[in-house]
Parts: sequence; C-alpha cells; structure tokens
Amino acid sequence: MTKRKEATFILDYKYLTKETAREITLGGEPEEIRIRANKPIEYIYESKQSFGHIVSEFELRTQLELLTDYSWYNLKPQLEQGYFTIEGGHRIGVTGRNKTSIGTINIRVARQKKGIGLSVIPYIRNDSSIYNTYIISPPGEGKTTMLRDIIRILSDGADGKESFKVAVVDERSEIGACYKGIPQNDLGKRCDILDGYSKTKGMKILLRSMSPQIIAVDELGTEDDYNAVNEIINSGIKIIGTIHANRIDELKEKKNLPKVERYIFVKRDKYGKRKYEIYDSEGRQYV
Amino acid sequence: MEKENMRYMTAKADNMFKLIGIIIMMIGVIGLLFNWNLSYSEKNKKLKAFEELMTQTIFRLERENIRLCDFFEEVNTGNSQIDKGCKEISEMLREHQVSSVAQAWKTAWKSKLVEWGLKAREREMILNFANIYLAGDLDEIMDKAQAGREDLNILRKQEQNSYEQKKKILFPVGMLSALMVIIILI
Repeated sequence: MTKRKEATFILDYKYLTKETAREITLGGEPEEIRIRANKPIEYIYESKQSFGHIVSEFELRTQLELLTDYSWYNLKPQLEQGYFTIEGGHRIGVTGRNKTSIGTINIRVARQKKGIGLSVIPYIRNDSSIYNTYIISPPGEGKTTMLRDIIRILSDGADGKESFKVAVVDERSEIGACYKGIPQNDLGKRCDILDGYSKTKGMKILLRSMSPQIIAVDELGTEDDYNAVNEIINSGIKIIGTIHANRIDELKEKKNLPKVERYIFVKRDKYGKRKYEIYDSEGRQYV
Repeated sequence: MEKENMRYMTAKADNMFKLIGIIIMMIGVIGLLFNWNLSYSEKNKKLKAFEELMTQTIFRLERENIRLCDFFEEVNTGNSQIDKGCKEISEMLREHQVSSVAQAWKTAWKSKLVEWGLKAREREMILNFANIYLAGDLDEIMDKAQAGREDLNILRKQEQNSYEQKKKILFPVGMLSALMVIIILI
C-alpha cells in the first residue's frame, strides 16, 4: 500500500482488511465493494466491475469488526434498517441475521462530485426562487449525487446568485452522509439536515420548525411521500426530490405524484458518463 | 575451673545457636506471612479491578451507548495497572490495529497476568473475558459480563479462604516460635 494512494482514497484504509486495501491500491478506487463469505470480493467502478480474492468467513467477520469499530452492539438500531453509516459518510449495507451469521457486506463509498449540478441550475432557478423539481433516474445512475450538488449550490449560492435556506430530510444518510449527526458532505452554509427521519415525518417537521425556502428529499415513492410533497407545495415552499424511474413517462403511472415545473432525467451513456434531459410540466424537453 | 568455664561457654554458645536458629525461623515465618499477605492483597486488588471492569461493562455500554474504544478509554476501576491496560486496548481499537476486540484484550493482558503472578486457571478465566465483547448484542454482553463478574467474585472468595487457611497454620507456628525465644531468653 503506497502512502500516496492511502491519502487520496476517500474511504479510510483502516476500515478495510489488509488484503482488500492492497487490492484497491492496485486496482483503483471503487464506488462499491461487495464482500460475500467464501466468494471473491467484488469491486464496482463507475463503468466496470472486477473481482478480487476469495473472502473467508473469518475475514468477513474481521471486516465487520473494523467497519463497526468493534462495536456491533452499538449499531443494532441502525442495522434493523439493514445499513449503517461510518465516518466519512460511507454506507455499509449488511445482510444476515446477526453478527455471527453475516452473508454480505456492501460498502458504498460516499463521494461528493462538486459542480455536476451547475449545468442544470439555470433550468431550475427562476427570477426570485426555484421551480419545484424532480430528479429522475434508474437506480445507481447518480440522482442522489445530483441532488446533493444542487442542494450545495442553492444553499451556498455557488452559481453566483442568491442563496436559499435549504432543509433536507435524509432518511438513509445518503445526502449529507451524517456521522453522529454531523454531515460529512458539503451541503452549503445554509443547509439544515434532518438525519434518519422518515421522509413523510421529516418533511412535516421541517415545514413547521425550520421555515425553509426549499425542502430537498431523496427517493420519493409512497403515497404518504406524495401527500407530504403536496402539503409542502401548497404551503409555498419549494421542493426538490428524487424518484426512481427507468423512463420519464413512467411517472405517469405514479398516480398521486404531485406535478412539478421541472423534471431532470439522469442517465449514463455506454462510457459511464452522465447525461441529463430536462423537461417542463407540460413534458416539453429543454435539453 | 577452666573445664567449668569451657562447659559454661559451650552451653552459652549452644543456647546462642538455638536462639539464632529460632530467630531465623521466626523471621522466615514472618517473611513468608508478609509475602503471602502482600501477594494475596495485590492479586485481590487486581481481581477486584477486573470485577469492577465487568460491572462498568454491564452498566455503561447499555446506558451510554458508546463505542468500545471510548469505553476502554474512560474505564476507571480504581487500579492504575488495569486502567492502563484498558487504555492500551482502547488505543489498539481506535487505530484498528487488531482484527477483533478479543485480540486486543488478549494482547493487553496476556503477559501482564503472568507478571502479576496469577495462576494458569485465573489467567485463562480473565483471557476468556475477551469473548464478552465479541457478543452479538447488548443483552448477550450483559449476560456474559454478569457471569464473568460472578466467576471473579467466587474466585476472590476462594482465594480469601485459602489465605485464611494458610494464616491459621502459620500464625500459631509464628506465635509458638516467639514464645520459645522468650523462654530461652529468660
């Protein structure tokens, strides 16, 4: 393991077993690491995947000890949701019944790509505020990354324009990547985060307590979420949310989803590069 | 006259040797008693400190919901050597130097327990406490720590009984020796 690499990889090497750290040093920095007992470790990169050494059950348990800071008992409430977050905001998904019967560990390396939202910001902003906006994409295409950067830009006024009070409901700690309540990602200076709350409850709390100008929320999907979004729109606060969909016209199937003024569809081309399509409320495509 | 003098001197020397012998024996007995008392007291303090560590494990982990490295950092058993060992464990965990908490526990205590003169059975018991912190959930940790605390308590009582037994034999021997010296001196 070279010192240079150690310094650049976002996930601290101390959380990884020696063998895994060595392979990352040689093979590059993955977005995801999937570790399964008695199976080769899987590294997922932006546009490819590769396999490494076979992981023994002992190594899997050691990996878990390292990721939980040897304090598995401390994470039991989070593990009921199937994942927990470690320092740096990296999300660790775990399958299995308990500490001694773990099947898979999935490490999603938190990465903030600053600046990727700048290209869509002109289509979201209007004269004095922003348009209610949904960011849509299939899973893993980068809608949360896009949302995170849009929040940062609007909260900081990073595009050289007015900044806003942005409140975020971060149910799965993916946006702010909070560790012990402190966001590990830069979401700008005017951003307040409600970490670990359900979206519906969180949106209502923010609406009443934080007097935000914009509420941002990830992965809207249930009727309750749609009702909460409706309430926000009706109270004059702007919403930016993300929605899973493989195509833009899939949104028509989501019956009670409130209409908004802007839809950003995120997808990747065959080289793994992100592309955006922007639509208005009438379905007209801008970009 | 000369012969009488010689006999007197020989008897005196004989008595002196006896006296010196008894004094040496007495010093030996007292020394042995003192040494036993010292090692018993030291060992008892260590075992008591481990018992306190188990108690703190039971109460602090559940109430304060802290990580193990923070717990071991802040442990206060009242025994500086045990606290120092706990800080070493904390350091190993914080720096992720070991593959498991059991490894940190064993690394911290293994050589120290030998150094402190604990018997093989006692050493094994304390080293096995490592498994407490490997448990999957808090309830299991609590149960194991509670069992560990009880085992230590039983061990301490056994040690105390054995010490009392030794004292019961050695104390009369010491007293008898002292009495003999007094008689000879008179």
